[in-house]
Amino acid sequence: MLLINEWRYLMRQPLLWLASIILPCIAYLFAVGIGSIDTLADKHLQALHMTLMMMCLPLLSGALAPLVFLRDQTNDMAELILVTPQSTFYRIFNRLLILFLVCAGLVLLSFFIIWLLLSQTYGFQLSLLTLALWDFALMALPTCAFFSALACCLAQRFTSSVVIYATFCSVWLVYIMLASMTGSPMLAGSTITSPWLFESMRLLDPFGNTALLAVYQNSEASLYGDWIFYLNRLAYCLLAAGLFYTSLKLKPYTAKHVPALADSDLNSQSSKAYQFVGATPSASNQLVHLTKLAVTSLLKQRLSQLILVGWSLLMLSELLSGINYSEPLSVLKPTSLDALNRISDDVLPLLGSFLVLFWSWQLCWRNRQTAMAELIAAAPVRSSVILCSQVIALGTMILLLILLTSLAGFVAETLANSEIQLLQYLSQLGKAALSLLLLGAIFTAFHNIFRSPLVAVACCVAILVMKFTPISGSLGLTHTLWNIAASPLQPADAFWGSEQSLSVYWPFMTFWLVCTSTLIYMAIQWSHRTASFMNHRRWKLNISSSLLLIITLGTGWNLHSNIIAERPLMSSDMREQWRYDYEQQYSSWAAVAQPVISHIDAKVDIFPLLGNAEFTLIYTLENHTEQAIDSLLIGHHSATPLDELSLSVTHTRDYDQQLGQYKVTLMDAIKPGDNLQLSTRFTFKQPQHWPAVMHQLVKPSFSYLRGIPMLPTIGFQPQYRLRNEQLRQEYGLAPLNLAKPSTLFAKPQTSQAKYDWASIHSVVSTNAQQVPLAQGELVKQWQQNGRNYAEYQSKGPIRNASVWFSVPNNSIKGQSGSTLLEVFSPENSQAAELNMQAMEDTLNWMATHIAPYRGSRLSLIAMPDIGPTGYALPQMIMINQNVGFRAEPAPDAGFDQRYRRAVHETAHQWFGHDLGNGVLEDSAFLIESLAKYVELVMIEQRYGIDAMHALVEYERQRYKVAVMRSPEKTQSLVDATENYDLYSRATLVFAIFRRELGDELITQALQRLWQQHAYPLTPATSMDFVRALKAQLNAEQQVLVDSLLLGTDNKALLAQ
Amino acid sequence: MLSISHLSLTYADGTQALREINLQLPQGMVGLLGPNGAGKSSLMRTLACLQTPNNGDIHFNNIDVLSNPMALRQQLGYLPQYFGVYPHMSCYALLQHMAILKGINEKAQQKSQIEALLELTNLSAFANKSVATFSGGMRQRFGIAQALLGDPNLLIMDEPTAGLDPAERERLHALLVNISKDKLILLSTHIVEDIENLCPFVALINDGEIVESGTVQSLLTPLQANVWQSSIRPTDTQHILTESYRFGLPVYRILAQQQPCAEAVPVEATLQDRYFYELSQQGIADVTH
Repeated sequence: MLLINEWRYLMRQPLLWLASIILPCIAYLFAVGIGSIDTLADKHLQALHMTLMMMCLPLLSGALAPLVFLRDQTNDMAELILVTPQSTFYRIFNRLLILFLVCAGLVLLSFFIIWLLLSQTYGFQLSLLTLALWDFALMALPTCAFFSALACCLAQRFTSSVVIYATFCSVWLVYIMLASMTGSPMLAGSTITSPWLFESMRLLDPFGNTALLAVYQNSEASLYGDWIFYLNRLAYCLLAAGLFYTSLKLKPYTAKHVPALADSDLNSQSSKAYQFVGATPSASNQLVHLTKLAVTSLLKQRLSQLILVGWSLLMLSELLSGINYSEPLSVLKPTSLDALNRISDDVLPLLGSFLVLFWSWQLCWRNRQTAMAELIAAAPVRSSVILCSQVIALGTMILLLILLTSLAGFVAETLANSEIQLLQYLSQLGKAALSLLLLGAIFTAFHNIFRSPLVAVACCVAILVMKFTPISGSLGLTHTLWNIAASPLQPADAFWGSEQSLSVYWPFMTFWLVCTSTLIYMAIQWSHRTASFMNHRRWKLNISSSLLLIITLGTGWNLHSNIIAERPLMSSDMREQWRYDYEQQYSSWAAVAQPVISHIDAKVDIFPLLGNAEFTLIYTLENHTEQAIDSLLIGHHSATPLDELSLSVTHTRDYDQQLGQYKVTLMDAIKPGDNLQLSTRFTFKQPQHWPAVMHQLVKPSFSYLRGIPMLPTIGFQPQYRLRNEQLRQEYGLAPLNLAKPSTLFAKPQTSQAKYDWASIHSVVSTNAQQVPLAQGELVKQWQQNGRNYAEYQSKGPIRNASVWFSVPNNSIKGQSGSTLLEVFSPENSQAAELNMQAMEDTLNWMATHIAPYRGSRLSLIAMPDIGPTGYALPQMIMINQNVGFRAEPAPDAGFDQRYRRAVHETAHQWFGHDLGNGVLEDSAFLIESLAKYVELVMIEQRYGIDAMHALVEYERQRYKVAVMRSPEKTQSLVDATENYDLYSRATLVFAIFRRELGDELITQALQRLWQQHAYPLTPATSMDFVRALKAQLNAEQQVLVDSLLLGTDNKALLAQ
Repeated sequence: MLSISHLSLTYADGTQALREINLQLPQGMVGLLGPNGAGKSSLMRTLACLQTPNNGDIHFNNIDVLSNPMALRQQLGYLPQYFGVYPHMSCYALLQHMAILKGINEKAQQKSQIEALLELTNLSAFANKSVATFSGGMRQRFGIAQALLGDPNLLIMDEPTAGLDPAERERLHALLVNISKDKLILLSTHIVEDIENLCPFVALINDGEIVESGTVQSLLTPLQANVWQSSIRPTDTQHILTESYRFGLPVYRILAQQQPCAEAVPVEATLQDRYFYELSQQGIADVTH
C-alpha cells in the first residue's frame, strides 16, 4: 500500500515526467546518432546500452533521489511523517524500492526504444531482444539497485539535496574519466592508460561495462560476459544490500530543532521614537553591496570551500602528471605553454562550466530558496543591479578559479623545473576565463528570465550537453557556433604559438559578447527579480531590445556567412550524400578511357602573411590506352574552384558546380600515345574563420600545400565512392564486395592496377623571410620583387603526390651518396642533427640492402602540432616539432623515439612512395608494417640489440592495451587496417622474423619485390611480399610466415 | 493617495486572482479584509510591484506605479506574509543590507535608524544574533523593522501581527498608529479586530473583487440597531451572522430588524458583523447566481 502511495506522489512530480521524456529521447538520439563500434547488431545494441547507462543513470538517480528521500525535509513535512505509525525500515525500504523501480522502468523503456530502432536497421532478431532483456537484468538492475541504495544512504546520513547532487555528479564525472582512461570504445579518443586500471575496473565498474568489453575479443557468446562480469554484478547487488543496511543503522533523521532564542523584556517600553531617514538609492552602492554579499555567501559555504580546495588539487595533479610528457618514453623540457595545454582545453572548460552552472544557480535562486525574494524584489533596486551583481559575483568566482589554477600551475612548474612564461598564463587562462564568464552570464540570464528553476537549469544543461557531448554532431548540428560561448581555438604550440587558429578567436568571441549582452539586456527587462513572480513584459520586445536583437542577429549572420563562404558546413550525412551523388552521376566514367598525368608544371606563389597561394598548373595528359580519347572528366576540390581552365586542343565543356566536375568533349580525340596540355589556375585561400588543418594551410610561420585533393583530377576517382557496405545499402548502391587483400591477391599477377606517377617541375615563391620548397632537384633560386623564388625539377617520374612548402629559412644539410639531405627546423639543435643522422643511416642501409633512393634531395621539415606526429610525402618528410625536436628520451627509455620516427618516415620513401602505392584495394601492410621493420633494423644498428628489444617490448605493451580495448575481431596482418596491427603487431612479427629467419632472407625478399614490381612495372601488393618472402624459405619457415602474416591467432605475440 | 482602477490579474494557470479592482485609498491606515484566498496577498504583491497585472492602473501620489515601479519602490515599506532570511547573518547585518538596498547610504544614518528600529521592535538585545535562529514572533518583528527602514510613504503589511504575542501586537499597533499620520499604511489581515482597532478606512475583498470599501463608520451604519446577540440559537438561522463561544457557551450574533428570539438583546454593530454579513451575502449571491 505504501508503495502505491509513493507512486501516487512521484507521478505528480514534474521532474519524473521530464525524466520520462528526456531519457527516451536520449536513447533515441544515441540509437540513431552513435556510430556502431562494430558492424554486428548485437554488439551495437550492447554498446548503446552501455553508453546510455554510463551517460544517464547516475544523473537520473541523483536527480530523482532528493524527490524520494528528502521530500519531507524539503517541504517541512518531516515532523508530520515521522509521527505516523510506520516503521523506519518499512518507510525507507518502500522509498528505496520506488526509486529503484522508477530508474529501472525508465531504463527498460529506453532499452526498448533502442531495440526497436536497431530492429528497423538490422531487421527483427529474437537474439537482439533476448540480449536487450539480458542487459537489462544483468547490467541495469544491479546498477539501479546500487545507485538507489547509495542515494538512500546519503539521504539518511546528510539529509541534503546538495550532497546527493554533488555525489552523483561526481560519480558520473569520475566514471567518464575512468572510462576514457580504460579505453571505453563508446568515448571518442579514449585509451587504456594503465592495464592494472583496466583490470581493476573489470571488477569495480558499477555498470559492468569494462568486464564485458574485456571479453569482446572472444567469440560471440562472450557478449554475455565471463565470470568476472558475474562476480562484478553480484558484488554490486551485495553492495546495494549493504548500503541499505547501513542506511537503517544510520541515525534516522530528526527535525533540526535549534532552540529559538528566548524573547526577553517583553514589556520594555521603547525610549526611542521612530525616525524617518531620507533614502536615495545608489546603484553603485547597491551593486557593490549585493556583489560582496553574494561572493561572501558562496565563499562561506562548506561545499564551495571544498570545491575550491578540490579544484586546486585537481589542477595541480593534472599539471604535474604530464607537464613534461611528449609521448611514451619521451619527455620535454616543459614551459608554461606545455603545462597549461594540459588543462586549458579539457578539464578547465569542462569542470569550470559545471561549476559556473552550479554557482549561477546558487546565486540566482538564493533569494527564493531563503524566502528573502519578496523583500529584495520590493526594495528599490533595479533589476539591472540585481542581475549585474550576480554576473559580477560569478565573474569573481571564475577569477578565483583562474587564480587557483595559476597558483597550481606555478607550483607544478616550479616542481617540474619548467620555464615559467607569465604571458602564457595571461593568454590561455584569460581566454578560458572569458569563455566561462560569457557562459555564466548566459546562465544568469536564463535564471532571471525563467520563473522555474527547473526550466532554467534544463536550458543551461542543454547548452552544456551541446558543448561537451557528441550529441550536436549526432543531430547533424555541425556548425561551429553550437559550441556556445566559445570559439574553435586550438591549443597553442611551441612552433607557432596560437597561429593555427588565432584568427578565429575574436570573430567568434565578438559575436558571443554581443549575443550575451543582448541576452542580459533582455533578461533585465524580463526579470522576475529573483522572486519567480509573473512579469507580463516577459517575451515582449521594446525598441531597444529589438534593436539589440537585430544587431545580434546581424552579427551572427555575418559570422555565419563568413564561415560558410570559406568552407561549406559538411556533416557526415552531407559528405555521404556528396559521395553518393558523385558515384551515381560519374561512376560510368570508370569505363571511359582517360589520359594519365605524365608531367606537372607548377607555378606556386605562396603569400604567408596574406594567407593565400596562387597556383598555375600545366598538366601533360598522355593517352596510355589503345583507343582514342575524346572526352575528359576533370574534377576540382570544393575549396579550390578553378579560376581558369584551358586545353591545348579545341573542346567544349559542361560544368557541374555542385560536384565540381567538368565534362570536356574534345573536337580532336587524343590518339593512343599522343598527349595534350591542360592549364588551370586557382587560388588557395587560408580560411580565417576555421583553424588551419592538414593538408593545406598558409600561415605566417609555416605553409604546407599538399596536392591531394587540392589539385584537379582526371577521370573517375574510385576513392570518392562510399565504401561502408551498410551505408551503400542505405543509399541503394550496389555492394562493392571488397575482399581482403589476402583473398584478392592470393594469386600472383591478379592486380590490374597501375602506378600514378608523374614528373614534376615547380617554380615556387614566398616572402623574403622564408624559403620555398618543392619536390625535385633545386635547379635555380633567386630573388625578385622582394620575394624568394626557387625552381625544382624531379629527376624522373615520382608518385603523383605533389607538395609545396614555405618555411623559415633555417636548416642543416648533409649528404648521403649523391643525395642532398636537409633538415628544416626553428633552431639547429642536437635533435636536428639526430634526425639528419637517422635519415642518413636509413638512406645508406636501404640503398645498400633494398634499392637506391630515386631522388636527388630529401628534406625533413619540423612542423607544428596539427595532427600526425610524422608524415611523409615523396622526397619530403614532416615531423612534429614537439616530438621530433623538443623532446628527449625519458630516463627509463630504452631507445630514442626521435631517431625511430625519423627512420620510419624516411623508410616511407621506399615503403609507400616507391612500392606500396597504386593498388587501392591493398591495405597498409606494405607501407606501415615494413617501415616498422626498418625501424627495428636501424635501431639495432645505431643503438645495439638492447635498444631494439626495448622497442619490441614497448610495442608489445601498446599492442596488449589496444587489443584489450578493441571490440574488433583480429584480422590477418596483411588484411589489417587498425593502427595497432599495422604498427605494434607488425613490429612484434618482424622481430620474430628477424630472430627466426634473419635479415638477409627478408632483404632478399624485398629486393626481389623491387625487381618485380618497381615503377614502371605492375605495382606490388602485400601478398606479393608474402610470396617473395616464402620463396626464400623452407617449409617450416613458411608455416611461421603464414601464421604470422596470414593467421589471426595473436596469442603468441601477446604472451611473449 | 493611492488610486487603483480596473486592476485585473490572472495567473499562468488561469486562476483569476484580481477582478476589475477599483479603489481610492486615503492617507492613514487602511485595512484590507478578506477570507483566505480572497486575493489580499495578490493585491498586495501587485501594489508592491512584485508582479505585473494584466490590466489596470495604479497611481500613488501622482506616480504611475506600473510604468515607473522604481519610483514607488523608493517610497515603499513592505512586509510579506511569509519571508525567510539569509543564513549566518545577524539581525543588524541583515537590516544594514536592507538599508543599503533601500538607499540609506550614510553610515551614521544607517546606524541610528537601525538602532532605533531595533529598540522599537524590541530586538536590541538580539542585534548580533542570527535572524535564522529567531522565533516566529521575533522574526516577524524583524520583518516590521526592515519595512520601516528609510522613509516609506506607503507601507504594505501582509498579516503583520501573525505570530506576535498580545503585548507585541499592542506595541506594533501603537507604532503603526503613530507613524500613519502622513502615510498610507495598507494592512491586510483576516483578524477583523486588528483592523477595527487601527484603521479608519477599510476595504472588503472576496474572490478577487472589492466587495465594499469606505470608512468603518460608513460600513457599520446600515447595521446599526439591527444586530442582536443571543445564547440560544434562533429558529430562523438565515439571519445568524456568527456563531461563537464564550466560556464554552454559544453566543449568536443575529442580523434582524425585529428581535429574533426572546433571549436576544440588541448590541452595537461591529466590523466583524459587517464582514460576516458581506461574506454571507456573497454566499447567497453565489447560490442565487
